[in-house]
Amino acid sequence: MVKRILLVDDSPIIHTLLRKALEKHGYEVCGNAKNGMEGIDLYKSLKPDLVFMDITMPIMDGLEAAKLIKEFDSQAKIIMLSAMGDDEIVEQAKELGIDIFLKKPFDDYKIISAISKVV
Amino acid sequence: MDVKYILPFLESVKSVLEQYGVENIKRGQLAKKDIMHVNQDITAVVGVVGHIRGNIAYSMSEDTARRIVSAMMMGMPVEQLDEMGRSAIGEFANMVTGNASILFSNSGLEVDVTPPSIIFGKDMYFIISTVQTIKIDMETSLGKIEIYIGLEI
Amino acid sequence: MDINLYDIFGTSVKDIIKEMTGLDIRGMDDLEQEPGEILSMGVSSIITFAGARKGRLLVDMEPSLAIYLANALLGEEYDNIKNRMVLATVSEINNIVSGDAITKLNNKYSMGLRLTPPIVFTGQDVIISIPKISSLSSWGDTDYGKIRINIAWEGGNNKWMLNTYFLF
Repeated sequence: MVKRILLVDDSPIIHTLLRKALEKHGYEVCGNAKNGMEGIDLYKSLKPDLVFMDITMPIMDGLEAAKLIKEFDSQAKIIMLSAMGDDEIVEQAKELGIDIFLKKPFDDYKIISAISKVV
Repeated sequence: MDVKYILPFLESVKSVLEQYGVENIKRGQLAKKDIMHVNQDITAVVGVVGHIRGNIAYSMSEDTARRIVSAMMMGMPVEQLDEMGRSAIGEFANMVTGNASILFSNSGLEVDVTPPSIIFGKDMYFIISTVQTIKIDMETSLGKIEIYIGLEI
Repeated sequence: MDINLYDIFGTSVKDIIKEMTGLDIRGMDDLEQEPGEILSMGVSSIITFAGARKGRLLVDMEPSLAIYLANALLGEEYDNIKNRMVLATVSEINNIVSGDAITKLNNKYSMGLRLTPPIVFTGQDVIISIPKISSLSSWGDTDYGKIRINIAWEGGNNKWMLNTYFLF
């Protein structure tokens, strides 16, 4: 059962929007990371049930971070949430075993139904 | 942001200006900015993608811009910054950033430079990066150039 | 789906603002050549891209619209255009619009385009000029103020550009 969710995105706007959508539906945002590197650190310390991961971020991008999180925990559940989503990027995410790839923008329905598919 | 990513831009401003005979180029202090408040007349912004991703802004007064354009045109007097002059400032930003991209490529980092935009205005507020922007003033015999570097590395 | 290098951005900006905030943009159906310099309406954001071609998207809007979009999205009551979150909202909308349009272009034409982070700015008497590239603007109106996008692509001697021009 997904309950605690880690958000990894460089935009404060996306953090705010995701938090509002998730909390409205009873999920808990257990951590906020601004880049892939912070995302990995918070994943290890918080052990969230699910990660929402942006792709284009400073320091370390989301594909690299997702790869390292999967190496650390092969059971990790990750939903990519990216403004860019061309075939090449989606293919790379697939190869990493990413559960779901969502393209921005998003609404509550898109987010909540993606979570229900991960479980 | 590692200083090794900043130096190529500063080196390039210096070497491009020196190419046009500008002397006495001095580098000022580094400062970190979240929102940039620019009191200069003109800001030229150029982006980079590839191994390094971000935006670089070069801000200056209109007087400094006119002197730079004049230097680029072999000393031809420039009384007004008309369309050709503005285009020359774009070219200057492009040259500096392109030069920096060659320096990066020499150390194995491939960087593409995107089209420049020239922005005029008073009392300007800019955000050019989701991370902190580094500001460096360059004092030259043509006047001050403020360099803002927002690289997502 | 028939898309080209210019129309795609207008479609994206209308769809995305509608999806994110519910706001309808009226107009934005035609593209007009800009004389080379653009007088900002208040808040502007630029994203540039490079790959098989180089280009730029400018999203420009009246302050009242930027403030409305920030408040509608974030549930706040901002009233100052210089507020970081208002500027960041305009940036993020541009980021999502550009990401959407460039994703479609990459998939359709294998252009391998990559985006810079957005820049956003506001000030007094702001004029934006892009040297040596001709650009096309599209205008829209909303209940909260006007919006314009301006699209520029460098170079022009290839099939995409030719297709695009013939489509006008």
